[in-house]
Amino acid sequence: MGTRHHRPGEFDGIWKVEGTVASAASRPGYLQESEDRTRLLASGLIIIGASLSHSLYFLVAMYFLCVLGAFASQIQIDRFLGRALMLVCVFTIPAGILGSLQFVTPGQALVEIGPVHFTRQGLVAFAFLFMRALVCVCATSLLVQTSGLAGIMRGLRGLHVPESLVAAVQLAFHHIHVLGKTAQDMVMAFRARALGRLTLGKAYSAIAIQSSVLLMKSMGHSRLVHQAMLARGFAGTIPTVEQPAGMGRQDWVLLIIGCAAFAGGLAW
Amino acid sequence: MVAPLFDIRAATFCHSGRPPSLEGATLRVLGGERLLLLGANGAGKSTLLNLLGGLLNPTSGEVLFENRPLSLSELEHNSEFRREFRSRVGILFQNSDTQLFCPTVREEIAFGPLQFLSRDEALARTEKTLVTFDLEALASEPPYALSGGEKKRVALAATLVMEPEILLLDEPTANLDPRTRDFFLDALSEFNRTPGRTVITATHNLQIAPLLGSNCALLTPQHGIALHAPLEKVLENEDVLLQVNLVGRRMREQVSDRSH
Repeated sequence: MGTRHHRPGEFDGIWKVEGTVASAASRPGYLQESEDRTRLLASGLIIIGASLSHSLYFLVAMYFLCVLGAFASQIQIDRFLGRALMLVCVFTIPAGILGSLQFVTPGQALVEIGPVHFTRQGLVAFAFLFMRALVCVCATSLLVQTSGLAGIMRGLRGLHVPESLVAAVQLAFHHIHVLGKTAQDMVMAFRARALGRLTLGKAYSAIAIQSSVLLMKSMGHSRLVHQAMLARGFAGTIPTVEQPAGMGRQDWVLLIIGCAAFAGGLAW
Repeated sequence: MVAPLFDIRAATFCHSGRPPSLEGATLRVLGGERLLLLGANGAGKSTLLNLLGGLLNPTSGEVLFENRPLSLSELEHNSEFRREFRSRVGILFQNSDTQLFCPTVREEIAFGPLQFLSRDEALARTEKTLVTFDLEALASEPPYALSGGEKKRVALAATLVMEPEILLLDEPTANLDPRTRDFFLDALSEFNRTPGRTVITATHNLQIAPLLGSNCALLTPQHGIALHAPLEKVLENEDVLLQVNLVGRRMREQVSDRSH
């Protein structure tokens, strides 16, 4: 079956990410060939294991496991690592720096920059926060890139997650895309009517200020989607075409790795 | 006298706190009719279509389907009627983005059949429809990443896969390129080939109207229904079209220049 790959410049922002995900999910690779439920379960176990662990060595090992998974799944490693690091840095560094200051986390001063003292305890806590976030982001990114939305939905249904919850996730994802497109259209309209030079960042900020408009559009869209679902016989469930496949050898291997990650997180 | 398929009796609809989008509309649609709902922007065509599709509750008046009261709440409470009605009536919405909500094109087309048919039958029908609408190459793609024309094609396939007897179309050819529009018109001709099928189309496009229906109901700017008559008679009456804002001043001048 043919696949229409992402064309450069075709989408912006969220569309570009979706194009990359769709392209990676359709590539042959170790994780892509495994069963949806196993992939979802193993990722979940790795994330829980990393969240429970109190060993930096274990977290580093989990990180390398994710990198190995990405390598085996034909994912572009530099982009995979770069995106994960950027995301984790943006969210953890401000909290980590503040949390390492002596007046926030008292303890032995390890780094002193003038009157500002960073404590050993604070920096260790920051290292844990950073590594846990990095493993969680890498595992999630790996799951999304090797499954695509359809695979995740199949996996959730295969694991007997309540149908209403799966339907909510599915519709939320659809909604994010349409809303992203609406926001982009609003940005373009805003830029077209702006006098003088207006950067994309400033245009997005202006739209963020007008988020109530976006919210109203979002509510209108939800109503129309619900009507479209009713028109096609929706009665509370969204049945799917594809059913979970049987477990193969590599699925068992993946499941064992997930269980080991979970057990390791509990032990260390 | 033949019993109508849809019988709209003085139906009014207004969203809370807003002026009515349809007021006192009365219309009888017979089985097998190819009816156009003609009206300017904001005349209430989509509202009327949503009432016919059982997607809204009229604020006052009533809508009957084969002499049974039809409304959103009626369908919610009567599961047997809902099942029968939804499997017989297909609705194509104006905005394909709202109609397509599944993760892949295949799932999108299978959504309707899986609600009504056995799994095997639904899957067989889905695959057949993918071939008929030339969507095999897009079957695994997410619908939101498709072009406007492709989305419309998927939306039409997802509607026709249920093999409905009655089709409600809301501005079906709006924003389509000539090729996609021809594809759509071909699919509609194929649908109409089976006798007894009913098509109700909301549009304001007079150029394409003769290809979509033979009778028309004119919606006035006051949100009522002015006339239900054969399309060619209505198209001949330029004054009426001008009154309901379907012909603009410039278009009228052009026509009158040509006739002189």
